[in-house]
Amino acid sequence: MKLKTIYASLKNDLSFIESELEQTVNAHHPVLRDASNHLLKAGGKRIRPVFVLLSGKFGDYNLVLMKNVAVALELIHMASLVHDDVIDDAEMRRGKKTIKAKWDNRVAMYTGDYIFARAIELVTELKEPAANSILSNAILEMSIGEIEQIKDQFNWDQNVRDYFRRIKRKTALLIATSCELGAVAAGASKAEQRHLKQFGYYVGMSYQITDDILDYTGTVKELGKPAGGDLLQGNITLPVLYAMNQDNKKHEIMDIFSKQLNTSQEKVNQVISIVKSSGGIEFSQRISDRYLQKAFNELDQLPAQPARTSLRQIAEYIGKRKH
Amino acid sequence: MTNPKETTYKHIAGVRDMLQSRLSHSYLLQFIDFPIIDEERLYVFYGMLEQTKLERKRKEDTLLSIMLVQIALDTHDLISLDDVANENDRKNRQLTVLAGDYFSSMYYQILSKWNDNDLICTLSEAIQEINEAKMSFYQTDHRTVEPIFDNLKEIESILVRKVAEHYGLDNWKTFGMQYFYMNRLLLERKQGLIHSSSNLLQKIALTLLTVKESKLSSDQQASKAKTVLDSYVGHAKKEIDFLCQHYSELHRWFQNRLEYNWGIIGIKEEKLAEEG
Repeated sequence: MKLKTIYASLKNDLSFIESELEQTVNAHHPVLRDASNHLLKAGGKRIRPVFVLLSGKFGDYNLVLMKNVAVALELIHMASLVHDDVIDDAEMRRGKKTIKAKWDNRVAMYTGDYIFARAIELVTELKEPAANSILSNAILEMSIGEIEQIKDQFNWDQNVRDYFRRIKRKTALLIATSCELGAVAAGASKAEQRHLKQFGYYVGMSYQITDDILDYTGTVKELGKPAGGDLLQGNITLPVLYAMNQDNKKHEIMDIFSKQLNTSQEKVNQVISIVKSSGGIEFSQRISDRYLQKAFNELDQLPAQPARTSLRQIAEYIGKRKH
Repeated sequence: MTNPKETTYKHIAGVRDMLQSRLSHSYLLQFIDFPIIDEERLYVFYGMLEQTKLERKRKEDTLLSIMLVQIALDTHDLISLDDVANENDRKNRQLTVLAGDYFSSMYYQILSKWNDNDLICTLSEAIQEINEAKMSFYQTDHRTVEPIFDNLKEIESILVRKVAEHYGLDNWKTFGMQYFYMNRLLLERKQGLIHSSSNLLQKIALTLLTVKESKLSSDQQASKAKTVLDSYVGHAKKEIDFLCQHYSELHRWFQNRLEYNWGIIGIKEEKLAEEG
């Protein structure tokens, strides 16, 4: 099933969120406005707003209140991408030039900071103390996770637990927060808030593992870049961690990276081949599926209603997606 | 009986320690410099919060949060524009981005613990306005020098203005805005003396180039830019002196501090008055 089909029930609400997103980043300074809109226009799956809205269906769904959270979560995701592109020195994102490439690093920093602040301001409009508490913890953990990711680059001694902790902070927390805040904004029960948060966390873990698998299996057309980009940056993800635990593969992989003779892409291609032959992809897929199953189990604790079906369909899509 | 001055220093030292502890991330500090804690801002915001009815611990945490906002913004100003030359430079750039985000996330978390929704809102508005002003300073081709200085004043004074308005402290608003503007001018002048230029001096020189002074050599432009800056410094100093005469003992402390800053960068007051 395509994401568009799953989103159909939210079509009108999502159009409203899209126009709110545009209005929200309508800064006074033309460069700030253009830079903010540049990324917005490049699109994206808008998964976080969708999770906010669907979670809100478990309480008193009021789009005027829900929109603040939905827009804020997407803006936080966007702002972190703008800063990530400076960190990764990335030229392209979603088929368009990054802000740092189109303007420069400083414009990217100011734009990211502006968008972050705008998102927080929106959440304060809810006047719900729990919302600030949940979101601020998530943002703090996200930033710690990003620092840990840089620290762990090319660290061949890390283990699977390090990886899980990292992807929890990097991806799963913001998705869990989207679900939880959606439920909080709609006044869903504490139990529903908890199940939705857990659902988001498990889906987020599965989402990131799938992303990490695709970095090894995806084509240039599917990924918009050559495979092995993570490894090129030194990010050691689950497929390679599994491979490193097989036979003598750890030393083999480390040897490839220590050799001066090959180009970076040649090194990456060799490691991709080792990862594939070691069963690292299949193992990672099993772990991703296991997280998805846990997500489904959380959904089963929630009242049966169309939003629950949609959440399940999105989770399934995430586990099977190709880009 | 405790001396009020000693109490002030003790409280400020306590917050400075808390700040240092928050900023001390061992991995970050392997690649980036320890962030500068602006003592002037620490004192001004302390003075402001002392006039509120907040309980002591909350005053400390609020001051800590405001300082973290400033440090986060300052950290992102350090981002380099050039291509990285080596691995160390690359790490420095990556961690400068992340350090700013990390410091910023702490202010939000601290205030969330106090359920201070209103101040979170005020500070997030301030951050937006500051980034608008920074973008304007950085990305606008100014035709005259006046808007450059207006822009700089905005960048330096938005945070103090918003905090003062938040707590209804009008006297601090006027004083703080002028004081931070003055400090920034002095900093730019100091950088000009040490590195023979600064962001502001370059902007002024560029403006001179596009208008009537275009026939000047680059040395003459630099010299003219310094003269222009000095005239603004002189004017700002007069404003501060005027405000200091009207406010409390704490404000006089700032005046003394300013005289000290004035002295260490070697500005002669008569010269400025003459040029201003």
